[in-house]
Amino acid sequence: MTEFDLIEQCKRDNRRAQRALYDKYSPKMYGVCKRYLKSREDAEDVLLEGFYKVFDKIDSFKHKGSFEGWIRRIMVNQALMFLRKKHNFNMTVEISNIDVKTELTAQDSLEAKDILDLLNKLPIGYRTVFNLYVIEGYKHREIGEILGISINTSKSQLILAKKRLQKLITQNQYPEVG
Amino acid sequence: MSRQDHISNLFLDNESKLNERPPEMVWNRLEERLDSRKAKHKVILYRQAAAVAAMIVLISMVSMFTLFNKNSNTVALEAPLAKNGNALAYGEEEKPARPILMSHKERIYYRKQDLIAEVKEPAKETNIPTIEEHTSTKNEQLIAQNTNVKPRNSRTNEAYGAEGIITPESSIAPKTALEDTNLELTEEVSTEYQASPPSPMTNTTTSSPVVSSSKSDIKLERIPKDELPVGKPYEDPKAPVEKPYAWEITTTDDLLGRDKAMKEKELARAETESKAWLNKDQKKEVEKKKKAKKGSRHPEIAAGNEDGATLAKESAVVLPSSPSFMDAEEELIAEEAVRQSIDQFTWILGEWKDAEGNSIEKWTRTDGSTLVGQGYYYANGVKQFSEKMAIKQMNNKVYFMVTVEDDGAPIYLPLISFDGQIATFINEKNSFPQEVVIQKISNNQFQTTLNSNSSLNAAQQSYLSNRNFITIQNATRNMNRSQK
Repeated sequence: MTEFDLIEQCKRDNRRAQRALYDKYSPKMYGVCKRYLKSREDAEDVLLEGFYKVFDKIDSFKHKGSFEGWIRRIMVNQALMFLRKKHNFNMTVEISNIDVKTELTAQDSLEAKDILDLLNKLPIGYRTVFNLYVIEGYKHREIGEILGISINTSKSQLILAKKRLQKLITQNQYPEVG
Repeated sequence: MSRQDHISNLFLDNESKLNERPPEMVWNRLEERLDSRKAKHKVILYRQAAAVAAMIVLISMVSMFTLFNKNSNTVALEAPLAKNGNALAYGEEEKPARPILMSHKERIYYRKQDLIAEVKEPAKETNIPTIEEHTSTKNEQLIAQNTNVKPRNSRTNEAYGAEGIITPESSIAPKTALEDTNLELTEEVSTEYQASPPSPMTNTTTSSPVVSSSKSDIKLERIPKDELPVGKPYEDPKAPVEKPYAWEITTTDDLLGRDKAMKEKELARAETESKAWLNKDQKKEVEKKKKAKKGSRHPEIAAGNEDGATLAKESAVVLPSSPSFMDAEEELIAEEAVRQSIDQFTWILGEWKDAEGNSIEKWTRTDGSTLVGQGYYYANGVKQFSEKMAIKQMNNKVYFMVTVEDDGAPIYLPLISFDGQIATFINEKNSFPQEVVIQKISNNQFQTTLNSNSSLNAAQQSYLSNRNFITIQNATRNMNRSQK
């Protein structure tokens, strides 16, 4: 069964098709949720809510564009909604005149555990802006609109996030793989 | 700060390592939620059906009520006409109109009337003999029994005549069927027996005996002749007072007038509301066009795209809007706004693989205006197919170039729209591909879609089947950034 057929079956509330789509995309989306949220329990809750929304709103997906992109966007939105309940992004301080240079490091590979360790050591604001900018590819203007912060705050949060990560990697010297 | 620094690359390259199958419990919880959603939908459907049924019942009741009102008005108005216009058949008694809605007392009264009528004129179908028939039969029987007995007193009812001759007195006091119901007739009332029962509606003077009845038996009360009012219609004190039902007549015109006034009010209100909405819609249109001019990278959440628009509305996080799938006018505006620069495609530089690792693309920048992509397809480690693509900037325009057939010339498709995420190259003069869509899903993922409306030749089909996933709608390939 193609993805097109699976989506059409999901629109008819076919439980087997829903399970098939879930099996296909849940590992990736679980990864997305883990990047944004500190605990696995929270990531699971957001994943559940996200997939519930996917199946609830699947009628509105008209096969324009990638389905994975659509699901991913829902998951990111859901994660941000979750974070907003607990954290006010507006409270982050805008810092100017930061030295933007990041030191080079020999590190070029990280294990999943290392990635999560590093991200967990970042404040929520840094982590969210870093995820949105570096991994999802949003612009600072868009991040500002999403989180309700200024463009400069978004920029400074990113710089600080990178500097903190650089420092943590240098301090800990995570083992290279491969 | 760009995404090309070491820290960004470190996370981008290793991001996929976070992919992990979630615990089974998550699916179980999700399934429960989906089940409860189904049940909720059902309840909503039932409620809607119940509401519709209630409405239908209400409407039918109102219409029936109106119809009854109309009928009773007609009866009240037509009855005198019938009387005056000799509409009644000869000998037919005029029957007063009965109200539709009756009180308990009224119902009992009319039931009495019916019973009296039944006694007086029994139904022919049931073959019940009339009072006269019954009397004559009885007389015959008695005569037969007492043929040898002389009449002693005609009033004692012991005998009705001698030797088969019925005396005139005997017919005055006949034994009727009512005898069976323990009716005792006195001399005074016997001659009045044939009197018709009273009716409060008509001017009948004779009114005895009064019948009181239940379902099973009939009892007749005797009223002495002297006590009966002479020349006045009998009025049963228990009988209901007849009302003119003036309220029924007022319903038609008054209600019609009221309805008309209400309708006019509603019409005026609807007009003002629709005007207000029109103004709002016009404002929205203007805002939409302004946004369309700006452009953005989120097609799913773009205004006019149903896929994401609903979700964007619902979620508390408001994502920036942008045009993607719009009507013709909006598309024109967007087209004007397309930035014709290959700098916006630099994210594609690097090495990409599909999920199986068989299809590979390597994108490099050869000069300031050209990005070249080399595509390969491997099966069991052996190269099966290769192709060359390019994104080229010429004369302030960006083109996607691809060579489909081995000896064919490169095909140029100009960039029609790009919102930061979906780039659409269209050239309808080509047979294949007529449209190439490159969608950046994330920094680590992109999807290429090839579309054509015309039928493909062998070389084109062979090209399409390499590296592409073909569905009934289009041919696509998903590429992930290759890890260093």
